[in-house]
Amino acid sequence: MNRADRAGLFALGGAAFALRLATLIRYDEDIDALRFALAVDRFDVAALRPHAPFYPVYVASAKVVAALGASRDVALGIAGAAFGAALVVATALLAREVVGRRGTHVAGALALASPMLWLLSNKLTSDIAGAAFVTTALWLAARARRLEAEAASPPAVHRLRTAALITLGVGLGARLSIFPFALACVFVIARAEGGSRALVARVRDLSVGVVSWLVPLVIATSPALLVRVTIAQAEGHFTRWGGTAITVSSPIDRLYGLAWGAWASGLGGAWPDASALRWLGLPLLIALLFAGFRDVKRLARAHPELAIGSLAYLAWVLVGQNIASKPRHLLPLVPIAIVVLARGSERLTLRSKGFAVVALALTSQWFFDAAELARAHQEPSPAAAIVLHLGASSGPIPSVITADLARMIEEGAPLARVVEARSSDEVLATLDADPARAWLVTSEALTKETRAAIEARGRTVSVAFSTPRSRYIDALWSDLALVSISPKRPKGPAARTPR
Amino acid sequence: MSASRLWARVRTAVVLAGLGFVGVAACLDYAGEDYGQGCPDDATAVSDAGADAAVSASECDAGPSIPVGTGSGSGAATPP
Repeated sequence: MNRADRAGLFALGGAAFALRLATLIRYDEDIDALRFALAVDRFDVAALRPHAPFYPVYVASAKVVAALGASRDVALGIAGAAFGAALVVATALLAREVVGRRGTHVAGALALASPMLWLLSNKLTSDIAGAAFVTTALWLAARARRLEAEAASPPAVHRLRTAALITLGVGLGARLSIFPFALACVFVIARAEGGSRALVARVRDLSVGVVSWLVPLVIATSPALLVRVTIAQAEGHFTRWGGTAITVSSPIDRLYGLAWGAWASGLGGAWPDASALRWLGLPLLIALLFAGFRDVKRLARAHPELAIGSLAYLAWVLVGQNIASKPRHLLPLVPIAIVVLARGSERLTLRSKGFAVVALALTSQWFFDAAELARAHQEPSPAAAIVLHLGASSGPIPSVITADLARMIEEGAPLARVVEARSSDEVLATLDADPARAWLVTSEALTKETRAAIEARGRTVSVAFSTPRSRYIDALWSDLALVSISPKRPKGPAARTPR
Repeated sequence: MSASRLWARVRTAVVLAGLGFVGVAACLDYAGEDYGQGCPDDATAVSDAGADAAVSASECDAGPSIPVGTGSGSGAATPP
């Protein structure tokens, strides 16, 4: 890599960092973001600050920024912007190894402008950190493959693979759900190096990265408590609330979530309720994808860490993550898709240099789309707006029934009286216990059946507060509302018929 | 000894030391578990900060409760 290339990558990272900083958000978007913010103030496993698996590397990085004087939300935002910029540079570097020098430019530009990469850099969650670690590790592994193919010295190749696995080990501390990439890379690299001894050595290298955050985590908290909270949270994630194949079992919902998430959210593809600008980019995206996928078998053979890691991660997301309503779980696959698009651009420009305009036009369309979404993202989410609304209420202390927002309301509107109700029966029982009281209910706690049952009890249901926003900013809770439920109407005396 | 071999041994030592530390810490923690120590004398709730759940003396004696909070993954919200 010459000096101009290095300067170009530095400028790319700087531009990405500046753009992400320009659209920082200053509110806790959902319960996960709130817990990360609380963890920056005080890391406490027992109080779920944050939730399992505790993300020590991500929280530590935000704590470093907070120690320099930033507020907790700004600290998380700056950490996210830095990881987001690193991800853009890592995507360009990965494309350089897989596609070539021209691919670096195309992939860098697309990664800079990608709506999903931009938005998730601004969210106060660990997704972008995990993706940055994965993409950096895949770049190192791909570089090792290329050097090996060029008959470079074995120690140089060995060192790159060691660095890739240590990076993945550290990355597990930022986001544990990237583990399929880590396992795939360990096995693929060990297989390339031959035998069980190599496997033991490569598991050790991954463990070096894991130990770097596991030891501080054990020092910071009680190991027994760590184990108990992790088991309780894991059980809940898989069987009650995590959006896994057990809790959202409809294959149609999961496949729709995958299709919409990958196409409309991950690749910024056209969809009826998305920005109309996307229809202009549709033929460009299809052209690049089609050209790129024609070469995907060769790329997969040349870079098995990339291919097997992606397939393993996709399988995990399909079964073990909330793919039905959280497309952000597809984030680690987006940089790889961008590399495929860069390969498509490369193939098209080999036919005619004029085709370079395809990638340029798609980058422009993504950029305008992403900038608009990032700007809209700066307004409080529906959940955060409800909490602000309750906190600013100057009337009588509101009584709120909620399924999932209790912690957010307790932190943001501590005067509100909050009752958690996780089922229709619990909602109705709370209302029946005090028929004369007016209630507010957050809409995720209400189903159509529950509403009908409430109205059948002589209560009136109406929307009290709502600030819906585009599901392309955040698919979950995009239409969350605060619903008002009137006291039960008293049964009046029977009307007398006048004589 | 070559530099690469030395580096491999350093990695092995780091992992063994790290996992050894974690193992010993866990054993000591499980062996020394006694949640009666340090509990408040009366049944007054003790709250550490903000809106964190209060811990009563009886809860303290029984050991810390394991909070089971949902992530934000319990499904899409649909207003009526």
